[in-house]
Amino acid sequence: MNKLDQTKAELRQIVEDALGRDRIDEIRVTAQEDRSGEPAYYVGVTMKAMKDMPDIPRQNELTQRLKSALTARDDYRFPYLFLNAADDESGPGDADEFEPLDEDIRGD
Amino acid sequence: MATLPENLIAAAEALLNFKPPPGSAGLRRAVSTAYYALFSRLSALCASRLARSEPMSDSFKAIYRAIEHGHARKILAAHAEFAEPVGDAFERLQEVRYWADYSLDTHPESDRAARRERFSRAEAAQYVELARQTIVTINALNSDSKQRLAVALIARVRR
Repeated sequence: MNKLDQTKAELRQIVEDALGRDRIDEIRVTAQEDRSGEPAYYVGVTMKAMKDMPDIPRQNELTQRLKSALTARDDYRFPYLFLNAADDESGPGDADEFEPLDEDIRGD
Repeated sequence: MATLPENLIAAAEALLNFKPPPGSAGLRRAVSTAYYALFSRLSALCASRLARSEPMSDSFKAIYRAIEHGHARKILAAHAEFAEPVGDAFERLQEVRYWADYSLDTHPESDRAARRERFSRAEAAQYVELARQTIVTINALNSDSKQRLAVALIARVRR
């Protein structure tokens, strides 16, 4: 396992320890640039149920734990936490708003 | 009387609860507005602490407008006293705000955008609540901490 894979595995383990492995549907860890162009980690967590979504203080605590683990590895990339739930039915809005308009793509 | 940051949070919550939901536009505006609520609170703190004059004075307005988004993120992230939780929250909110305002991706998280998954109302609500609670944290700082925070955000350290 290379260094990046080891780091990702550690971040996953921290998430599982903090939120409960049996309550988590999926964890996604990606090393990439953030939208400011800085190297970062995106840590996506899908909980099985909305009722298990961590509140803001727990999210803050988890971010701090992820940062501490990275700092201990001399890795100063920020771990952006994204949380959702598999049973989330709150809705995204009902249309794909970036579908091209016919008048924009017509050749005439 | 409510402050501008409080009213921005109220506006973000209203966008979340708008009926019928205005597609992803309402959710994008909600998280962007939540970020600006926090940014506005920091700007007002700096102006109040450093300009020490009436809110409509030129001095107040000059300091209010002096904070830069990228500079604030870097200063807060590196600050021993304010990185956690204020700096962390600011960084998360700024990242999702950049997505909300500028990106065509369906979701701020790249893996989910690649699957064409959509940002949900419940996800947007987390960021509005994150901004609201971070403002509460800033408001609860003692006077000396507020002064250090204001100076940190405005001063440019030369070595």
